[in-house]
Amino acid sequence: MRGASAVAAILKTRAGAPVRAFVVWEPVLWTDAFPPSGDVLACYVSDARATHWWDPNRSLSEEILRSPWTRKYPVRGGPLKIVWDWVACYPPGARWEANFPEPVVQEFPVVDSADRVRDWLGGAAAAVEPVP
Amino acid sequence: MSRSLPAFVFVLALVTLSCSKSHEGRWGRGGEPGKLARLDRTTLPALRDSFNAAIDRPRILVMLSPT
Repeated sequence: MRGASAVAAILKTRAGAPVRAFVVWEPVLWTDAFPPSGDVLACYVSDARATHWWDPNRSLSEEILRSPWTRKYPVRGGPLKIVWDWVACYPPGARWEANFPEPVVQEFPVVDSADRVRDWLGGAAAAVEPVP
Repeated sequence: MSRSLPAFVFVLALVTLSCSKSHEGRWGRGGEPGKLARLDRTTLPALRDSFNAAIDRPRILVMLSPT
């Protein structure tokens, strides 16, 4: 849950910034048989800018690893076919078309990525809504 | 051992019921804050559409495990 806490902290720091967060939960360990409870969602990432997805068959991992850009450099969990504990950042204008889009910033583990993601988000959000 | 088995099954049933109750009301159709949307090969387009719908702003995508 440290990763979820980190995401919550990033969003809290950038309160009011025009950002969307997609939080995809997937089973990785044997203890992950059940999706996160409503309490967990409420406690950790309750920000209205975040949406939550439960991916029991790790479909998104598969989709990400099918993208050509993942062969340029290692992506978290590549050899295991599980992209996990990973955060990807996309600027305005980035579009998901035939392949899952290449992020401008990708980091793992999430808990150690907070500063970089927060900094990137600050710049990206300011470009959308310049401070008067 | 044979005496404790029914008790174990009973406790297991209670735990399962408790878990399923605590999960009630958390499911959404995708893109609803505070709700979980199920993701699989057939619903990936919903995530993609949601991602593309926010094209005017920065986005972060995070992959996490529940534990």
